[in-house]
Amino acid sequence: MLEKVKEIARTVLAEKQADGVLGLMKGQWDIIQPHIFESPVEVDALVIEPKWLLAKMAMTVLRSSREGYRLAVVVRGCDERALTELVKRNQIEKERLVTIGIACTAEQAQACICDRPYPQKLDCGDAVAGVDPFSIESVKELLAGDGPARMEKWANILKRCIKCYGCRNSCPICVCVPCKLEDQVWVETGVIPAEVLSYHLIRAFHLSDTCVACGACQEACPVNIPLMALQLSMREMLRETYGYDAGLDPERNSPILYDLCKEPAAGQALPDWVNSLRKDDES
Amino acid sequence: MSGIAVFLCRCFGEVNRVIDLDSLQKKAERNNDVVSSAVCESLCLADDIEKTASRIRESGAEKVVIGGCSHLARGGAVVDALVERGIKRSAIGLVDLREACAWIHKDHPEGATEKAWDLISMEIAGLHHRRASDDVTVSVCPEAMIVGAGPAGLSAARTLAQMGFKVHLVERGSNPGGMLNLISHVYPSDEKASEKIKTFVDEVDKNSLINFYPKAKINSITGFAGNFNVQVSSSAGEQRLRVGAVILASGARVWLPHGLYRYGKLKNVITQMELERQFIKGPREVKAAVFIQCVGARNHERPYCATMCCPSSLKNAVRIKEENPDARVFILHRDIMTPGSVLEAYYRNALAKGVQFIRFEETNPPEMLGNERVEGVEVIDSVSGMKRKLECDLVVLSTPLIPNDDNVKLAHMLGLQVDRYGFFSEIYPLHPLETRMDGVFICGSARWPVSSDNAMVQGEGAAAKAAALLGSKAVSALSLSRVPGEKFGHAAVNAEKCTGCGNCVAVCPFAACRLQKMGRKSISRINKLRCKACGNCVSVCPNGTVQLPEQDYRAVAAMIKQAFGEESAL
Amino acid sequence: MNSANASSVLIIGGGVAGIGAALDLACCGHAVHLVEKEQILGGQVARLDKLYPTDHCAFCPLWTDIKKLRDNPLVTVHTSTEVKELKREGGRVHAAMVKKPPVIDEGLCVFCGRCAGVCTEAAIETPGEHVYPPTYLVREEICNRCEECVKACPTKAIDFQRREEKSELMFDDVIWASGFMEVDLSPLPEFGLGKHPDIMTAMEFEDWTGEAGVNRGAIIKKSNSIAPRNIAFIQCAGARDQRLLSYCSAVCCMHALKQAQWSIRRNPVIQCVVFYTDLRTVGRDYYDYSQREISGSRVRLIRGRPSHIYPLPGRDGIAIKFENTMTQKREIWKFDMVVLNGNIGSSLRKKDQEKHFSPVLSGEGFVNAASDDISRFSCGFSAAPADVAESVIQASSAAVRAILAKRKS
Repeated sequence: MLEKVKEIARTVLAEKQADGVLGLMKGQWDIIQPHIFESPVEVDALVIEPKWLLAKMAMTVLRSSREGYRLAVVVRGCDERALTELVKRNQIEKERLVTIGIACTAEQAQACICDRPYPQKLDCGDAVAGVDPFSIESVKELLAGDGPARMEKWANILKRCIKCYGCRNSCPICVCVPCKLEDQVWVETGVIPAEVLSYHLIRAFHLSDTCVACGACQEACPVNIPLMALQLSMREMLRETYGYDAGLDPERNSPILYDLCKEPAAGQALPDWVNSLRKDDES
Repeated sequence: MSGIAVFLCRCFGEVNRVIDLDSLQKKAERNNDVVSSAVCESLCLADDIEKTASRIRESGAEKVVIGGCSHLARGGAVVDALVERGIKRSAIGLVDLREACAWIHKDHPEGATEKAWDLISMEIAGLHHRRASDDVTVSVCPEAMIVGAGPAGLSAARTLAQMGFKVHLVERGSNPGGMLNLISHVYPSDEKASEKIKTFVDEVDKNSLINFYPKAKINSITGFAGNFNVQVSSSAGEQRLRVGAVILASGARVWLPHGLYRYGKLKNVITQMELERQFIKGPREVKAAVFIQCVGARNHERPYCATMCCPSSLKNAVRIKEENPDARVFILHRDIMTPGSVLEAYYRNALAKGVQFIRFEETNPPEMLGNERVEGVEVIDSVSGMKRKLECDLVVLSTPLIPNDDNVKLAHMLGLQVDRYGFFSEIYPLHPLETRMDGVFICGSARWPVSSDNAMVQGEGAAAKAAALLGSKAVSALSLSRVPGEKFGHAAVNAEKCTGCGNCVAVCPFAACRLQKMGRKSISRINKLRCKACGNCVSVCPNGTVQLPEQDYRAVAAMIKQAFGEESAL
Repeated sequence: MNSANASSVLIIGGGVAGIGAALDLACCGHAVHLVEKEQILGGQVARLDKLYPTDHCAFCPLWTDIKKLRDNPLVTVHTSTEVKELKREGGRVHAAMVKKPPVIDEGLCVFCGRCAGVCTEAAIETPGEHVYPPTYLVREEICNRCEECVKACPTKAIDFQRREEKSELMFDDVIWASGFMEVDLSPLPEFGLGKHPDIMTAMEFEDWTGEAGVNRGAIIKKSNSIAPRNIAFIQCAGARDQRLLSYCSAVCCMHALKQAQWSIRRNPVIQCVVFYTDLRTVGRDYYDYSQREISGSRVRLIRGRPSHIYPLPGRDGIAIKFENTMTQKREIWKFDMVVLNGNIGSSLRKKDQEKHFSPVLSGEGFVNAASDDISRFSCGFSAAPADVAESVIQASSAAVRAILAKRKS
């Protein structure tokens, strides 16, 4: 599969589909780091392991590059979803982005407890079935019980937090500068562990409709807080109520933000003939 | 931190017999920012206001806390009076110590005093962070655009022109008149429809203040009250108009009963509008006619009554009787909707003229009899319980008006809401011709199905509303408020913090937010005249960039901290 | 605006129609004098507990408009005032008005309630909790003039010696907005009004069961203060009836549905039945409202106008004799409470047809616009039965007609 990816990357550069390819490079002393490949020759050093989310980096590159610079990115499923969310949030211009999609293996899917281990634009590799996170005992256990019981359990877990901000820094969607988690009003400097309700629940809520389940936050956490369980449960709620999945459809806005004219609130069933009027309106 | 003056009102004993106001005053004085405090017998009588105002001036305080009665009692009047004397509304904090504290806790003076201190200290804490929104004034363009030249639009146009305002009357069709061009006579006056619109149409032709744009299409509308920019193409070419107000009088259309009562399959089963067309040409020979009401209305698909079908059938049934004295005429209905005095009399008149009425149930609709042409109607008369077979040579189906297809598009352009059926939404209950967008008014069947007479009355009403705006030389953002003097300012964006995510644009019900490219970034810009300070944007902004200055989140946070912090203990 | 065109208009009636017309005129730069015979503005709509079809309470939308009205420098509000004489004099209208200043001065009342506390006859009250500006009122028909309240008032707002104030003003035009009142049902004894405390009119039921009323929204019988098991709403009581009111009162069908739905909402055990002839649900969202389910149950609709409503002996309740026209069965049902809807008419009905005061009225008491120029502008129920939306729309139309009339002259 690696060879195929390299081939595609070389083609992209040769045909000028993009000015650079952002991917991983195995460089001197076998050190692996992100690199922008700008000539087909450089692509020899491209690697696709380990899992490394490049979405935020792509955003930064495009922001600081010259006007009109186009970037291709080697992406797995989660990365592609993250890029879609960043496009929706006006952080990346769609026209300047090209993706080279690679599928994850079944083992990788297991390791991330991912239920969609492939990008929608799949260029390399075979899509494997994902893992249903709610079939995993540890996830189920974390979300079991009624409100107060869960609150107590999670309050205990979140007590371990040392406010390293690793979760926020590694998250591909967390791009706000300044960030609310650094606002003294909500999260005071010097208070450790972070006040549960302010830091973690603010973050969970802000990401409720844009988290793409990449797992970067959990991987970054030095004290092993199972952050994914929290985000996955919120994603499930949105799936159930609105049939909405973040990162899949660049045209569909989060149902938490809706324009009454354009999309009825969930549960508000409009008569069919009104909906048929909407089909005429393309704007 | 600015100096705060605190005034506590005894209300002639009503407050201080429960709350220890003197201890509150002492505590307030301990606060570093309180530069002056007073406990007064009353604060709302004429002398009191003057005393309070001069005390504030002498102390140099920039902010004021009033501990008195509720806003709706006399507190609001006190605040208004201080604002009149030059103190900024956002600098005054009103705390209800009477209704919300002394009166409801009159059996617990200690607890009431604690609570009173909580309320006062919270207000002192919050007041620091409250700022005033800046205002912006724009001049008003004294011209109006009226969308639709049916009876409602023509009436609005004529009224505004007579008041001296220039009107741009934009019409989709080639001629003015709307639905009145399609019917023979109107109810309840039984005037000829063409005569009815003649005076209006003459006005449109002769009055130089009315510009008529036939075959028009509205391409875009942007702007706000006093300054709408419209791009319209019509047989007069492409045009950009600048108007101060928009009146939507675009009417509605008739629903065709395909699939019901063998319409389209059986000859002489026609709609009411088709009957009107025949009547325009002249009398119709009929042996027996059956009108069927509520065809496609008051059912699951269209659960509303379209207002006009019953009186229209009465009108046409009577006409058939008058033209064919021996004819038998039946109206099959589920209720006869003729509310009021004039329409009820219209109903009685039809009864007197010999029209027969048969009630049927929604679950048992009438059936058509005949092979190529209709020969009769079978109906279960729910009042007698009997099945009746009515021989007839004409069946007229009363179908409802439904919204126009482009209502949603117009609504998008103007930031309006349409109701669940697709008609433009109004401000309930006392402003039926106004919409949530200032400067945009609705009338006629675009708002809700209505007779042409009533559409004309609504057109006048919409013109009255528009005239109030058009007659002002200028309009300021803070004056566009439904609650007088109490608009909570408008949202403000801190351009440096904005990430351009577009959340605010997505949730603004008034289309007041938009993204503007500034260099490589997009920044949210808020139109102060459209913003109604609803706070939607504030709640979805991820990093607190958008705020309502009068209700800044830091004020709320300070109040909460004060309430639950250690300083609140007595 | 050109001051030569500035009009000065008298509006008779301070209900929603009058308030609407006043605001429209003032916002267009014309001076308005709004005359209202009661001490407070808002008319019948202010009395209502809820409004159909949104189930809003009536107060909040009203108070913002009343505040705007009172704050507007072009508007003069005359409450507790009646117009005694109106005549055309040389192109203008001369009006003679009499104000009976209320015993409690609303400008001085701080709404402390001490007067109500010391009143020995319970004659002092607030006209509902929702009133703007807030003030207490003395019900002079109950008051025994002990004047304890005068001593108790901290701002000396109470004075029983106030004299009538007469004034004479000139206007360019008059707009009638005098609304509706209840019409005496005694010519129709079959409805049983007055024969049992639990047979009442719709407005009585509204006052009795309203959230701001004496029972704070609890639905209880007048006879024994226990919750009723069922309530009957009788439509067209007095209306569509050649013996009394030949017209349809326009608002009653929706009003009854609203009262029935709210009764069920407040106490889901209550069964409500509406006896109707035609269920008139013409306005925006009205039909949908009529089909609603509340707490899993629906208001029962029976088509048929009862022929006889009478109290049963002992404490057995009230009997209603009717024919259910859809089943052709004649029945007698028992109810705990009966609400009569329909007997409302223009409040000008009772005026004598004195040419120098009253507008020209039709036979039913509505202002006859075509006939005479003092009568030419009218809106709301004074012109014809109309609901809130209709009344307010007509008010805007009347306002603009008055403005144009001035321009023409």
